[in-house]
Amino acid sequence: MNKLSPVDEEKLHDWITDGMDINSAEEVKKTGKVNSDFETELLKFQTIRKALGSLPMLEPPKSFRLTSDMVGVKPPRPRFSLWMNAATAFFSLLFVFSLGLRINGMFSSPVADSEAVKVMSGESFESAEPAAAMAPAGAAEPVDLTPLPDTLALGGGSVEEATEPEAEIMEEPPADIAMKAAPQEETMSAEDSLPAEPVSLNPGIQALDWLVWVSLLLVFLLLAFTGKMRERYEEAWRAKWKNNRR
Amino acid sequence: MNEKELIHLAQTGDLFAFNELVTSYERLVYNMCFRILSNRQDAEDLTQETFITAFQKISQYRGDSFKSWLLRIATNRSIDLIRNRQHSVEVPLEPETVDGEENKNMDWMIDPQADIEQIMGLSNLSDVLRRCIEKLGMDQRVVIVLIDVFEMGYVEATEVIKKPLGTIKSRLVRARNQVRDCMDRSLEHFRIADRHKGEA
Repeated sequence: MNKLSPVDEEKLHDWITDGMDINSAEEVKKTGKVNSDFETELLKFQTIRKALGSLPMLEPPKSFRLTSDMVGVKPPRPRFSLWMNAATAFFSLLFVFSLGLRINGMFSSPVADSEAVKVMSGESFESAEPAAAMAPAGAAEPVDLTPLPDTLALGGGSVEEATEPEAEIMEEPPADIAMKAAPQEETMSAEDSLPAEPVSLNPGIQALDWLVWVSLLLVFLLLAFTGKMRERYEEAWRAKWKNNRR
Repeated sequence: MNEKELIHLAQTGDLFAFNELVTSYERLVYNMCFRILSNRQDAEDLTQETFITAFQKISQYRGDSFKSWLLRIATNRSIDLIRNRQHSVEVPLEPETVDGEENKNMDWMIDPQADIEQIMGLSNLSDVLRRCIEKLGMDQRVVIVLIDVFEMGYVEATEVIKKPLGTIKSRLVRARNQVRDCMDRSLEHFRIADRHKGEA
């Protein structure tokens, strides 16, 4: 039952809640002395507020600390991950590039070699030049290094090297002669057993083979290693979480 | 590490830092939820939800009182829960005492309108106060819990509830008056009961 005016009531509650300045507080004290109802109400509300303030604080039944699963937080990416990914990307590109070159070499080499054989046998000398130009550098080498006696009498730029004086050839050291003789033997044997796997004879293609396999191996190794390392990292991260919980 | 640093770290997604804040405030949030909801299980669920929401929305925190911001989330969620419950009325079968124990006293089964027998059976002042708070409307209950139970000032309560000071004052006056009336009735019944015991 309210015995106080709204103004007095507001003053009283402000006083209880400590929401008053000093002057207003003094005024409330004076009102309390004059108005007994005010004083009674004040005492009553102070008692209730005290009782409410002394309600026991309960201990939480559990820890409310959050886990990564609760908030959908994924483990952060490890630092090494970036470098590993970059290396994997590099070797993947290297693999694709070298494989591309290897396949290209595989298809173009037999053409060049067969053209070279034709030149060597004198069947189509005119077509040897464009064929040699189209073929990879390694594939054309046997043509240049093979001075055949039949072609010495012929004119043309591409066979000028073959027309060097016999004396110069003779002056060369025996080692050089042996080196020049070696490809001659090879081309001769190629002529004997046509077609005789021209690809396997090319050192450039052999190097590509090596590059393809090494880059592929490195890609697999890097993928496996990165996966394993990330797995361990995430395990450690989750263990840290577990320990962090009460 | 102080609270500001922890908040800053939490804003960058550092859950460890946020959990330090959880440790600091979990008791307060849990008790506030319990005082508003009067149910341990609901309070537990809501406290957890409050911290999850707080972590998800911590980027929206603008640097005022973290405690007020956290309690605002808890308060709003409590109000939402109670309003949702009001749509599908749910009466607890076995209310708990303040200690979370099952209430062995069967007086709670009596119609709330028949206060005499019910209140006479309540064992102590805490229970009486709890019953009186439960009878308040949602808005009044939140205000009286913040200001009288947790002894906040008007300014802090305004930050939590985000309502004008006048609204908070009027809600508080109404809430206190209702609690006073409820307490008066309870004490009167206690007096009657004591008199009956004395005569017997």
